[in-house]
Amino acid sequence: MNAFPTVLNPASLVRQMDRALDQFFGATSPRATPPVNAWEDEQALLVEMELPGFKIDQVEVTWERGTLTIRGARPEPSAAEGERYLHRERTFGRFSRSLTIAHDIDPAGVTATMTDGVLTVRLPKSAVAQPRRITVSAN
Amino acid sequence: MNNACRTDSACTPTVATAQPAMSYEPAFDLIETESALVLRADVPGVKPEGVDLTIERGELRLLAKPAARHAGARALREEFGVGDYHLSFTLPRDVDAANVTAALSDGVLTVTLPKPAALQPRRIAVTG
Repeated sequence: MNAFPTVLNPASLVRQMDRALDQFFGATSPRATPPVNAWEDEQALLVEMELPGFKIDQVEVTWERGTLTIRGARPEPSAAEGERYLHRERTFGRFSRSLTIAHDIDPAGVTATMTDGVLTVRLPKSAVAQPRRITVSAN
Repeated sequence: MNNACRTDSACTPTVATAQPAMSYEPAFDLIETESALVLRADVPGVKPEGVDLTIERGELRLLAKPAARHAGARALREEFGVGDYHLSFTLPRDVDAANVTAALSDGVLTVTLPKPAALQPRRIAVTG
């Protein structure tokens, strides 16, 4: 079962194409909706976003009624006197990304961690959504 | 007409994000200061031991391997690919290769390439 409504896929495809184009031409504008990857194991959904250079206090993660929202801002470094850009490609500024998640999630157990510039949000499945092994007893 | 393209799929450029084994050029800035060139490259997911940086005959080469993540989990959505970062370019200025320093913080690699002492501005004290 796909946890994400398929109606989001066209936008996802556009972003994939954006990324592919970025690979050829270089990113030209701040990415207002950064791409995500999502994974699933038996206990949880995992959503990750690449946020290099972000400090933990520059990212806000909220879960509200089936919608995960990730917001953040990477401030542009101020140019010191005598500095000159020979190549400029990294993007800065604000972003916001919301995902509708169709799984039953335990809201109290949602956690978010930043490691080496990668944000990982862990959304534990509620007990009813987790697989259970049923012991078969002889009658 | 390219006869090597026999099927649509063979002619369609591969979307990089769909290929786990792809390599990527990291987004980077190159800044010139009075005393150095400074490279800042976004390499999210990379730890210091995953970085291989060489400077040889005026060319900078960077290979950065992100640590494995989500082994064994089932992918639900893949909007970006995870793979090695490759970057190489000819440095636009002479640098003092022996004194290059590199630091990795929160997925951003900062490489400081000092200019040779002879090219650095010097303030001359005037004695009276």
